Amino acid sequence: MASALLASVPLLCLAGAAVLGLVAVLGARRGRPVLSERAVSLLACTGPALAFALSIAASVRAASGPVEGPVVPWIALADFAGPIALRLDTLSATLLLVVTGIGTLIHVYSTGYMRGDRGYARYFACLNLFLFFMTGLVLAANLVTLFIGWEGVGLASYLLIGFWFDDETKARAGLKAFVVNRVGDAAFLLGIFLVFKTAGTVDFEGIRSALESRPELFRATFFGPFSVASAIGLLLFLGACGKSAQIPLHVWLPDAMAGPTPVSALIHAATMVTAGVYLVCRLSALYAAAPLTGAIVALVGAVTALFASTIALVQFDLKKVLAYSTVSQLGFLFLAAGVGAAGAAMFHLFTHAFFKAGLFLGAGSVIHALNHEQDIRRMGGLRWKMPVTGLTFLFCALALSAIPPFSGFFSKDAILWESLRRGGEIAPAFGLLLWALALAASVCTAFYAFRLVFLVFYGRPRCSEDAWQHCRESPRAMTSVLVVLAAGAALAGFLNVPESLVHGLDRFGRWVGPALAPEAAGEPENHAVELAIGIVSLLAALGGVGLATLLYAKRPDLAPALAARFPRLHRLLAEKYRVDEAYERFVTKPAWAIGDRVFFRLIDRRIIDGVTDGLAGAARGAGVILRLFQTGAVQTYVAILVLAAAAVLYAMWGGASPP
Amino acid sequence: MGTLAVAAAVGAPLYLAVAGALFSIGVLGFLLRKNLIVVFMSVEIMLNAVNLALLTVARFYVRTVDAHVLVFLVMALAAAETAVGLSIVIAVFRLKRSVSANDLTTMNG
Repeated sequence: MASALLASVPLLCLAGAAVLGLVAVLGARRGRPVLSERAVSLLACTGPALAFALSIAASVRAASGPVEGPVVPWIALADFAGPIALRLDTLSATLLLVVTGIGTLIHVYSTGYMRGDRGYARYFACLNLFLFFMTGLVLAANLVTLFIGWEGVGLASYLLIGFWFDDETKARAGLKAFVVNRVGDAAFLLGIFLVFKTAGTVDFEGIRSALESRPELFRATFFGPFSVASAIGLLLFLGACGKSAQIPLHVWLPDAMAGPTPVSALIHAATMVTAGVYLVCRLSALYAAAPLTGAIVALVGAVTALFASTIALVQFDLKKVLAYSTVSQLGFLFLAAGVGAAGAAMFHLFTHAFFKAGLFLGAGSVIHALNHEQDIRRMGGLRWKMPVTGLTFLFCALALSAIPPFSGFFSKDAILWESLRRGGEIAPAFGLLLWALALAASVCTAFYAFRLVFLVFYGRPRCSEDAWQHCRESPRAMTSVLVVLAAGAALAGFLNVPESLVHGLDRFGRWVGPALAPEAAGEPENHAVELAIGIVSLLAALGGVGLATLLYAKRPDLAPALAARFPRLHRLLAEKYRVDEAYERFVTKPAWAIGDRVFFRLIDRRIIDGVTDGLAGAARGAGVILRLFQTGAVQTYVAILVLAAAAVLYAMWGGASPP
Repeated sequence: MGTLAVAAAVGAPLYLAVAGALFSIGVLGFLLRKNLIVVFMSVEIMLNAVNLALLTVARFYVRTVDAHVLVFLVMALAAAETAVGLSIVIAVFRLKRSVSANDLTTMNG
């Protein structure tokens, strides 16, 4: 019963994808839609909504202990078993609820956003397919199943980024996402191999028990300063870097904004990109045994958080700002997961899903209303035209900026505190460094969030008169979703109020705790210090908001002046630290050159073509000579025959007398 | 004196020499003459030269009758082959208005 319950969550989405895929294909064949948009939206929303309902039912069961799902044998070799197996514990239940819940909301929103698009059915087929793979990824009981989901969501992401594939830049963005992810996935696969070699299993429970029963296997030196556990952790983290857009594999996510905005909200903000964090949290026991890798993860996360948030300060494309914001927030998640605070990471993942999906969908609502305008320099004053979008965007921005009592405050504050406390257990200076990076990133976060709010929704309208006249609030299907997400962004924080504020309200921590590595008994938490840190991070957020208010609401002349004052810094940020250019120069171009000169011109053209052309040439040359004998005159043939016979006879007896 | 006695008196080498001479005439005729009918006749001469050589060897050295049987088979086959060959020649003549080997080189490479 429970097993069927778990299996039906992804299968419902798969059924939806199959039916809609058929509708899309038939429609493309006929050249006109087979079903009306109403029927397609109904079909599209049924699967996810049912999956969400079943997820709630399953999660209730999971509260009292992990629920085992079906096990389907898949790869079974001599001593390797890689079945497709599902399991639900409180950790996967958290993400499962986010995925199916927000997924359903975004399906509803999309019915409004995608109205009138030629690929209406194809869009929902891909979105349903995404949910199938994502729920599979979340429910996976072993690394093999997780990897199938992992690749599947990559496929869905590729299909949806390049959804409007007749625009070449969009098709290329999809390709870029796919290729960059491949880099990480190669490391991920190696990590899975190493896990199997070490633990003899790929099952998460099996890995956990192997870590407990035979820790010496994982402590053995693998390479240099890396133990086996560290090496596994690092390889899997590289895979996570690709999926979750961390330095140096973050370049695909901003480009992924080429897809429809609801896709950006669901796949590239709320769910798929958090899969990397989920992986690290899922293997928190392994990372606990690999402090070196944990430190690397935390440092990469903290650096990415600051790096991406500084880029977001100066971008003018509404979706680009949110994309870099996502990269930055994912950095926060890795920071928490790296220092071992998987609970804090999961909680921020949870709240981030609400407010970032809300921000993206709000942005989608604006873009929809302004007829695909994305430049915030040509917006402004929209709150008068779109009150619901404006208010919900403001709520989500407040949550992103970590202003209490919005949800982001509780979750981000926990990350800042844990990075200082647990990072400090490695080395006090290291904890301080992580905290300082994260604090600087929070200031930037609050700043760019409110820069958006002021530039888009306040001030004078800067769009054309015509656009302003045609701009109106989005349809009910979209605004109702915005309201739900804004409510979540405002209230979700109360699920995990820190102990230092109110005793006994850390429900989320207690819910997800049993599925994570037990916390090492360190020094007791110092509530006074925690409160002080919380106040500092609150002041930082308020500072960021204040600065944005000053620059974009009170003194709009100051921002361009500041940009003119530091032209080089401004250009560096505006050009995103020129990472893409560096990749172009040091990776793409050399790879292209090697491909062209070595593999194409030398190996392919010279060697392979040379051998085949040479053989063909030899045959042709032989033919040219041999055809001289083929005169067509039968008497020539006989003459040759006679001469040859004579030659043979002479060779046999050589002039000697016959026997 | 019966034929066998004559043969015994003449001896195998002379028979073989005659066979060789006939064969050479056949080869030369085949190679040098252009008229297809004469070419055919040359083939027949070669066949009979070989028959003669075979019988000689059988009669003087091996002393069995197997070769005699074989020779009759060859003669029968040669007759059939001539019939087919001549009809081909006639067909060729109808097509080309010529029976010269020089005019039949359409199979050149």
